[in-house]
Amino acid sequence: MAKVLLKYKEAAVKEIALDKESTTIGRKPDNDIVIDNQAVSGHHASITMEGDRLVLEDLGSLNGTFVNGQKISKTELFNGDVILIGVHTLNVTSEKNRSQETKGFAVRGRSMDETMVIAPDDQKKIIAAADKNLPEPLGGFVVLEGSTQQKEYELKERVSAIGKEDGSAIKLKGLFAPKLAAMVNRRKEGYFITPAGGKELKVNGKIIDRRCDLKDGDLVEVAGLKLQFYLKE
Amino acid sequence: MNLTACGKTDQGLVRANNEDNFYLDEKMGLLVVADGMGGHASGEKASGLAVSLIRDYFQGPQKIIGSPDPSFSEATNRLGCAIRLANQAVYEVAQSSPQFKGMGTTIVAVLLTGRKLSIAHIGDSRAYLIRAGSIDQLTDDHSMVQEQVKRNLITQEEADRSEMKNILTKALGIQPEIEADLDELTVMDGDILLLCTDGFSNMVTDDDALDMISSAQNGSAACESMIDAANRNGGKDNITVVIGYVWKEKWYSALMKFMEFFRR
Amino acid sequence: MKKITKSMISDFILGVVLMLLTLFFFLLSWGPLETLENGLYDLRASLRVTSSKAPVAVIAVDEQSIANLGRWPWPRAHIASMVELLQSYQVKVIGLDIIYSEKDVNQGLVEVRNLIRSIEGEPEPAEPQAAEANPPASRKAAAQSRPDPKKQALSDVLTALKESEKRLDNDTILANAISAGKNVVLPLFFVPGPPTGRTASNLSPDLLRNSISPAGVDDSITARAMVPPIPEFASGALGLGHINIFSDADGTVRSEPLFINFEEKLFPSFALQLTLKYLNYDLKQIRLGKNITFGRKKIPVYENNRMLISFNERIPYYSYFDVVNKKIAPDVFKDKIVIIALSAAGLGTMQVTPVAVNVPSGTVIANVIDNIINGDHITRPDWALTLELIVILLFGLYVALVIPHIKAGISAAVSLVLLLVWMTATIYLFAAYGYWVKAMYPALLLLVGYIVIVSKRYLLTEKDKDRMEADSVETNKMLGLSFQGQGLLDMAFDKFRKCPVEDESVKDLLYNLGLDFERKRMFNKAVAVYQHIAQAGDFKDINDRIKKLTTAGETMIFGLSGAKKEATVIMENTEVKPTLGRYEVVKELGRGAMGTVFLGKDPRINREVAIKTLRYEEIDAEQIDEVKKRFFREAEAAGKLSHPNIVTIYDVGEDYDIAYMAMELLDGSDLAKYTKKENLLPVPEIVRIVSAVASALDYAHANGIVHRDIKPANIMILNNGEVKVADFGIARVMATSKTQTGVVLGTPSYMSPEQIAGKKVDGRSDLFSLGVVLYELISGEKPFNGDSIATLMYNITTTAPQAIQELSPDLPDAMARIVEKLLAKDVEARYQTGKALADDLLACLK
Repeated sequence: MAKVLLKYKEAAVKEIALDKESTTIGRKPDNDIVIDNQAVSGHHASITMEGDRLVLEDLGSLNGTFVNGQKISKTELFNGDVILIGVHTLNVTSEKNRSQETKGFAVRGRSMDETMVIAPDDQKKIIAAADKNLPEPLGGFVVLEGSTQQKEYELKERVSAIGKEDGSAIKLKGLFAPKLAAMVNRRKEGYFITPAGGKELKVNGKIIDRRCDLKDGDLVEVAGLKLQFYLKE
Repeated sequence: MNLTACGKTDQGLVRANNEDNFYLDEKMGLLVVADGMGGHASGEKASGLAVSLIRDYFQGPQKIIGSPDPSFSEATNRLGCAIRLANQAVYEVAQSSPQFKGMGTTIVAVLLTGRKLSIAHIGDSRAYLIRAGSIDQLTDDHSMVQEQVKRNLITQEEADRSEMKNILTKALGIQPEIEADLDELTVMDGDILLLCTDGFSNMVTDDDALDMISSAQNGSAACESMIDAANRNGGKDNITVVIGYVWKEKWYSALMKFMEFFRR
Repeated sequence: MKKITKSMISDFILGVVLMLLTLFFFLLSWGPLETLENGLYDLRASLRVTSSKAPVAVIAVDEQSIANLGRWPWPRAHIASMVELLQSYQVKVIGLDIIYSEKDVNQGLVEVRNLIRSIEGEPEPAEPQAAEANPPASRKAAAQSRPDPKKQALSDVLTALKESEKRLDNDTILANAISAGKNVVLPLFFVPGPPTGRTASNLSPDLLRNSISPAGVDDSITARAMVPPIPEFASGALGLGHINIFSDADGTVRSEPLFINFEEKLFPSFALQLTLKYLNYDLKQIRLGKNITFGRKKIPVYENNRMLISFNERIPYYSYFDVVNKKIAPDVFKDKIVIIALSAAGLGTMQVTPVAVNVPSGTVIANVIDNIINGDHITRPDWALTLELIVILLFGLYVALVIPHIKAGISAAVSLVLLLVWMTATIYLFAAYGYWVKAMYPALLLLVGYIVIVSKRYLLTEKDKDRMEADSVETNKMLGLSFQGQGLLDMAFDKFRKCPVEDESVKDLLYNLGLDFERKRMFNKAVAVYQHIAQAGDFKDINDRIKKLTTAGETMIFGLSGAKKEATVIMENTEVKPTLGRYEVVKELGRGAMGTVFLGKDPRINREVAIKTLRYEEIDAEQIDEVKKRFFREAEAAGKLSHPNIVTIYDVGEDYDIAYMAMELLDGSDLAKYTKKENLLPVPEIVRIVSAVASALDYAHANGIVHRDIKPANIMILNNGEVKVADFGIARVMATSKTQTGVVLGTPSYMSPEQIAGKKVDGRSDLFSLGVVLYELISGEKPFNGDSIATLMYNITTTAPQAIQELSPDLPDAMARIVEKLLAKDVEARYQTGKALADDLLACLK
């Protein structure tokens, strides 16, 4: 059973068991833990049980709620945490220690060899630093020479083909045009081109036999086409 | 475009049960692979529930529920919607009883409509495209290491070695609402699709998979050899592979069938 | 970057349309909206009111004056005397706001004049006439006019007549008074209407003197007729000015037309004329234009040469009567403009002004004068129109672009702030500077725009909500079906329950779910489903089904425990009280290892019994018969046992495919709670209980029955202290009911090593289990533990328990030895009979 010890200037006032689903703290008498002090708001904070989690939430108090010296709005409480409300402190005793939590990322599973899931909250913690929507590059080709249906192609799909074959992004015309001449891949880190069907592929005049990253302005020559690659900002 | 598919799942060498599930519908052009997780039998339940819900959805009126994303085709939105529903179902079952608590599943599904292939996935089960002798991953794993790779925090090599490889940042059924990553692709005659769970992708390299698929006589032989390969390399997790062959009906195919008839 | 949605585009269009509409009405000055604007004008005007400081006084012909001086019209001489009085007070200019457009018709004067004429002009013939008409007077007059006494008398009469003519000739008196001081301004009245087309035709010099020619294009109000004062007055007047007052469409007077155009001549207003004269200007010195100027004075005018009147209060106002009676000090009027005007009810027209009602026209005139003299004007500055247009544009853009993008609450606040700022600004400009900026149009645009956009959004979100509801119904159906397919019927019901049951397709889904529940023999759930459908009316055969199932539920609660066969037989049973064999089933008491336990009643001897039923669910179908057989065998064997410490079994039987066992109903609790550390019993009590169990076991073993599942939960302490052992042989029934061969069933913690090993067990196994119970009762801990069943079993078979005295140091050695002996791994090393144990235990107490 989790409990808190209410202290005022290091003197213990009383110990309160957190046996209710929600324990409220505040100056008004209808709170579960009443702290009669002007620095405490009427309804200052609450501690709720969310499953096996003990969650402290500031209820919009004027002077704020602090856990281990840090101002919080909502946070999980662990054994040994110290809550500061006004000039009163509340020492938390519970079964759950902070170190366990941070170490394990709240990972479910039996071993490290197993697929695990982390709860979205933890996930946010882990990947908080970076923005969720990384900008994806978007680019395409401008046709400089050769007969194609369009003068410009924007390549949105992950894999786009250049060839005569149906479904090619850049469709070649002509009787002798290869079915598949090259493939262009779009990745988060950028575009790259791979020759296909044994056709000669030149990037900036150099013959390419494996995947080649494309940069803005690169000249690609394949199957009688001369294309210039561009990247949009 | 037509789709011919086959799939196989194996418990692997280490696990006591198989929590993977898959579903193929060649007519519909639908391939689904799910890798369940959670204690006891709940992982199996989660992946089974998700796969069956997607199946049910596509066997039903396929009504798009919720607001569709205009940047994708209707078919892709349907796929996304089916996964949303599957998520809700798994989530609710997980909440309903303690024995299912915390269960979840990955999902990867592709839907072929005409020339367009809709791809949707959550978690670290993958879809690959094999075209013209090269293999390309069509999905980005929702795993912590992959997120780190995306952000250039670690390299792909470090990621492959990472102990955290199995920690997912996104899974179906662990939160009330989730959106699958959607993508579209124009397919070509001769494209091969590979859907697999991490039990395969963690054990076998992409290039090996490509070799196996291109050298195999047919789909089931390819599946067979891929599962064997994964088991040879340790078989640490359940292995599921689904291969889909995209082909175009040739104008002379009727003639071929006729010839076939006589040849018998 | 926020996404631009279609609704936002349409909001934008809506906003722009509203703005254009506002501009349209604004430029059109549409009546109803103008009225609103006028209301705002009046509101602002009332904020501008100050006390008048102009040198103006109004002498009012009010009710008091009428009451005291007689009915109106008063003789013009009265007025003349007032004029003279005022002139004597050194009033600078007198404005006589009373129109005398006709000569005074005075019967007396006519007669007097006739007399005079007759005496002077034609004395003879007129004489009889005059004599007839006015015999004494004419005679006298005739007498004065003659040199002879008679003539003299006639002359006297004539003089007297002339005197009285002079007295009676009010017009002349007034004309004289007017011309005397050369400081009286007289009114003109015009009948407004289209111009006559003539040019200054027949205008007397006096009128011409009091008018000017328009400069260029003139838009003054035109008149078709004029009512001038009689020439006698006009010629003597200092000036003439029109007293026409024009109210706005709503009847309120807000402006004064400074000129009226009559026959291409501009006639100044009365007030203007008074002011000019007061300031010693001549009408000819006025320059027309956007402002009307004379000297340093500048009067801003707008269309029709109108000047907006800024109404002030406390214009000095005196009763005519008081002035006549010299109650008012002359100083009050000295060097001032004094307006004599009518104000009594029924005499003058009362005007409505922005700040008051029932305002006599004199006050309006005084206000105009006040404004001109003090240069205190309300104007429409040049930039007002520009400002209004800009603000309309801004507010329009705000409505079109901003409101759709922010939350309704925030936009309400922002709109309110904008409105307040705008209103405050216009009020301030008006009150402080007299700048009239039309506040209404922008304000209206803001308000209407806000309401339209927000309510549209509200309606749209409502529509969205409807759509989402439809979506969620669809979702619930899908999920429900899926759950049903997965056998999660309860969850499926939850989902379907969220769909509108009125929908036929939903009813169908629910009906199928109900059938599924029936198939699973979950009759009460099925009934719940059917009843849910029934809420929306009858459907298929649900009512029949509900009836059947409820009957079945009452008679056969046991159906719920899942007999495999279809319950058709039960359904047809219409008995009210459910029965099992000869026992009436009262209620469920709980669920045991074997199956559900009911409270039953034997109606023949009115004895309450506990009925244990055999749960078939966990038994494979092909084994049911065998299990049942064993159940009866074991139960019958146990039923033969009759011992004070063994729960008595009265009866075994089978009814509706359910095997049951009726037994003694016990009122007490089991031992489980006494194994908790905080709840331990004193050693003598433990000895009493365990020895009682030991003797019961001794008896049973002697009768060839092994309990196999001795544990605290199977030992009952009745409220009267009696000890009873329950569930003899049941473990065996259940143990072998499982398909797995060789699996032992019991409660792992209490199992003996040989039980674990799967060997044949005898009574000594029960004694080992009893040893575990004893150990637990004494120490509150189990002798054998393990993380898993495997380790537990390993410990039971191989490791020795912790010495009990380590846990309970106070325990007598003899007791410790008993425990040790009971828990011996080797059967032979244990007590061989229950009796031996009971004896040893009882010996310990001695």
